[in-house]
Amino acid sequence: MSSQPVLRVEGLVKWFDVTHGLMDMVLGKHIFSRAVDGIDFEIETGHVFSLVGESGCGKTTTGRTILRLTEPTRGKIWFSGFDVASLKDGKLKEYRKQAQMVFQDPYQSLNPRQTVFAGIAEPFAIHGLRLSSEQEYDSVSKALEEVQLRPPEEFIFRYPHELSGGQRQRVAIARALVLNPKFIVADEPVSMLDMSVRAGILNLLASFMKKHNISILFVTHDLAVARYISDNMGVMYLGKIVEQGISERIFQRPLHPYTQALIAAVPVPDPRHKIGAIPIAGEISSSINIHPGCRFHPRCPYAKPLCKDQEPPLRELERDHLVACHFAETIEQAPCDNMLRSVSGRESSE
Amino acid sequence: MDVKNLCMYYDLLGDRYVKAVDNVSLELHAGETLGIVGESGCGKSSMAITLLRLLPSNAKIMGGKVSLHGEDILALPEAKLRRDVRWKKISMVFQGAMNSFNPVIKVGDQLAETLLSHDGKATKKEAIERARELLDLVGIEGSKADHYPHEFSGGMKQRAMIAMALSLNPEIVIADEPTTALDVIVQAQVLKLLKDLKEERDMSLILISHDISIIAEMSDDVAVMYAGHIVEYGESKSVFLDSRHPYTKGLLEAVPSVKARKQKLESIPGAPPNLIGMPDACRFADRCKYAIERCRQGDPPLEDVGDGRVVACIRSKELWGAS
Amino acid sequence: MSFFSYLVKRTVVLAATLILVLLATIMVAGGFGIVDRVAESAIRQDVNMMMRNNPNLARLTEAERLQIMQTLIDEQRRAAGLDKPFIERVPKYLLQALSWDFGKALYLRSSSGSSLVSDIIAEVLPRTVLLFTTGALLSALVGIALGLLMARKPLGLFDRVMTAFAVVSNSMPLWWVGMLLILLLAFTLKVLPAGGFVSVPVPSDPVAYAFDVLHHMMLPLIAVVLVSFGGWAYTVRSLLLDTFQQDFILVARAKGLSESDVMYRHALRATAPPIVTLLLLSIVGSMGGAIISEVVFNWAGMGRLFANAVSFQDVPVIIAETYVFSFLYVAVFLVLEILYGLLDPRVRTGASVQG
Repeated sequence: MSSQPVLRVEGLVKWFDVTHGLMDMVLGKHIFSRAVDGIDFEIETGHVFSLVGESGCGKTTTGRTILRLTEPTRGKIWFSGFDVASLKDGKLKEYRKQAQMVFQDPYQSLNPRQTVFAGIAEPFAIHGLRLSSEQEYDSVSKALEEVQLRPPEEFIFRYPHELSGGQRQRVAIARALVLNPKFIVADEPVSMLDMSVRAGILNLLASFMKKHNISILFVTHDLAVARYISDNMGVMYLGKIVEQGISERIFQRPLHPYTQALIAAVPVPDPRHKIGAIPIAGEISSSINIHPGCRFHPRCPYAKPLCKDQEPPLRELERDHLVACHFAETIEQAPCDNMLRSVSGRESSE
Repeated sequence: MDVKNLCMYYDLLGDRYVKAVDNVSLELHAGETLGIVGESGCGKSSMAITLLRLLPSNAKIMGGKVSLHGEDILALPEAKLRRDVRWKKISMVFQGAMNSFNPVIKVGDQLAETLLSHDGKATKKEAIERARELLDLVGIEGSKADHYPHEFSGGMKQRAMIAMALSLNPEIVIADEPTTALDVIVQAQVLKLLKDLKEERDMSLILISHDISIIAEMSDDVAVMYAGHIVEYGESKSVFLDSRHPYTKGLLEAVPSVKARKQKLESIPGAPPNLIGMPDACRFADRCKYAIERCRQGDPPLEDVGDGRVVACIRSKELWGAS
Repeated sequence: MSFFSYLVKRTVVLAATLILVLLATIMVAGGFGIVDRVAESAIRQDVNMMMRNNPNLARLTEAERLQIMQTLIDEQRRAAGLDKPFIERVPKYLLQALSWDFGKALYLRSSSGSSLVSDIIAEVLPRTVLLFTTGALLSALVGIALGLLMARKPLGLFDRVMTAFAVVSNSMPLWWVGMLLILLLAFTLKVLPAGGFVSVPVPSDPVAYAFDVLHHMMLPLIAVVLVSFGGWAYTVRSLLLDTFQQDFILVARAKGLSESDVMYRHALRATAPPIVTLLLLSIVGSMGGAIISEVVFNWAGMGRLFANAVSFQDVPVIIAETYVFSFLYVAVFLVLEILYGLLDPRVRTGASVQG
């Protein structure tokens, strides 16, 4: 497997202008929501990179910006050697052939007035691929087989409302993959599906990845899913990545207090594991008024004066494991009891 | 509280019924948490509204008893139900507190009205005071009582909802998907809050969720629902660590864990069934990898497999034995 | 953002809107030169009249008379500002309008004989308000009450009957219903007068006068309410049913609140904002009168005035009425914003109404 990254993101920034009120707009006083505030990462061919975080951390915006569904404010997006951040028109369309998206809501991402066939065949027309109707039918059938909607004849002319959530998501995946893209952004593809159905979709994505050497940017808030499917991971908080690296390394040895809290907070389907206290108070602060210093410090149980003034850079603490925290080493030495016990799976005393 | 053979159907126009809750029997003991887990359409939310008789006009209770301290609350006249049972003995925390508060009335007033409507002697001032105390209990500043719901964040709204549910010191709280739509950390905080409050007040909790992990961590007893039926019911430890129903097993194999990277997740093929016109057969048979001809010849009854556990599967004893 | 600053902002924006409307009206009316030509011919008439009535001028020659006439005309033109191009006069007109100085009507007069447009309008506006605004309020009240009853048992017999009735009655034009009622009540049964504002001769005793007006008001009022209450009832019913779907209604029932508490304290409160909006808009709409209807009932209100002004091409009256109507609209709008802010707290902080 080549180690040439399919995607490399450099200093990506996306700010949304949320000025409201006629007066402020006229006077030129702009308020920005700093959804993504400078992140870097790479995805290699055939790998899955998960962006995890809670709502408002910027992970969905990152995915959409990379695909140019929204324009980046700053930064570079290297895709197979080209900077796609500034592509236009024809070249942009070429990019779209190679980079696709699977959305979160299977009930909204399919056009209710298009049959399954029409929806999956549409990309051909959009990209000017003239196929005979026989060829089209064959391609769509094949795509349906690949997403395990068998026999394809049963599904090919149905409408979305005649399909279950899981089936719809499979159609959405088929549509995204019908032009053999190299890269997919999957934005919470299973959060709206029943639990028994999720595994099927996840396995499908994984098998596609292996078979066609596709790379996936997997955006999710569900850490359990992230652990199952990702090779590499980035934990986002308020627009920045606070911990990054090989997923298993992060899960086995989370270094950033936020990651530790996240992992400790996720429930496990094991009745011997009881809900413990999370030593993090409050809720995520606004992405509009960002204070100097570490973005997590208002909620961090280990915060020191330095954290208030200086924003910690992402630094490599062990191979392929980066952390943005001034005191990551000391936290390891003297961890917060509750958190670490929960993380390592031992029973936490109540 | 004792639920016996509860049946609730939704009446679609014509002769068709959606058998949302079909012959469900449960027991809730004092001070315990009963978890009800199932996927969409399994009937768990319908159960919740049936217990308090909050049914929409097209839903009918077709049979069964719900006894609270020996009294069947399904048979009570509406006025008595309203005065004595609703919120006073049994209260609810609803899903996604998104819309559970009236947007044009202050939060404090909405908490206070439970007291005012049940206790004729309480003054408005006393009620607001109590509302502030309750908010304090769940970690919200008392001054927020004068605010409107849209000024609260999601987690705060859910906690305020919990505070409201406790306002009359009920014996039983039904929490229907209390943490859906909340972030992971907030979810953990809210669940911990529920747990602590329950223990402090010696309440019983019925926790309903599609998230099997939450149910596992919070419940003492668990009932797994599928297509309107209970398919497995027993102590939490037994049901999760030693499942005896193909559906329960399937669910556990399909769910990833944050504690360890599983090798392969097995999903259950197919999808939860349409509840209209269910045939007289095991409702899980179409998706079950252990299904045989006999499974389709009749709805399997709940069988005792020992240790206080019941399972609705004719092959359970054969495949996994009885304890 | 406090409620006060919200109000201030809204007032500023609405005042700006009003001025823009006024400007637009003036530009449209005056920009084509119609008003100017009208004013000039008025001046010529005046001067002619003046000269004919002045005996001293009879002795002068034709040429001299023409000269004097021209001088007088020019003087008057300058006084009226007609020698300057229209654009320069706009600020003056704007200020005039803002101070409610609309000048003189060309042909129409108030019943007291005044030719001042402001007098004419001031006489006519209250009559429209008396009839149509009362009618709007009454329709709303009846409609809301019925809507509430309909929402209690959706798809029940009452609901279905009322809905059918509402659709039918709302589709009937007011003037047609008016004519039918006149036929029935005034000519056949002879219980109510066929039209007009007061009887002739006008009763001198104020109490008798009041009763007389009321007597004349009955028929048109019945017509107005008959035609409008159905739409109100159905709208309120639908709004209420929408509100019933919301989770907080389920919560209210679960809390053990009585059905009437649920309905009035929760459902109605939450549905109040859109109902109030509709109410205020309908009040504003009523103030313009209904041109055809006023003609049918021979009710001397804003609508009939407008109809007359248009048929006589009495431009100053047309402009003034348009302005007055816009002003009322904007003023009521401001009241609406205040009320809405009071009823729906989400608006004050700029939160999205979806919640």
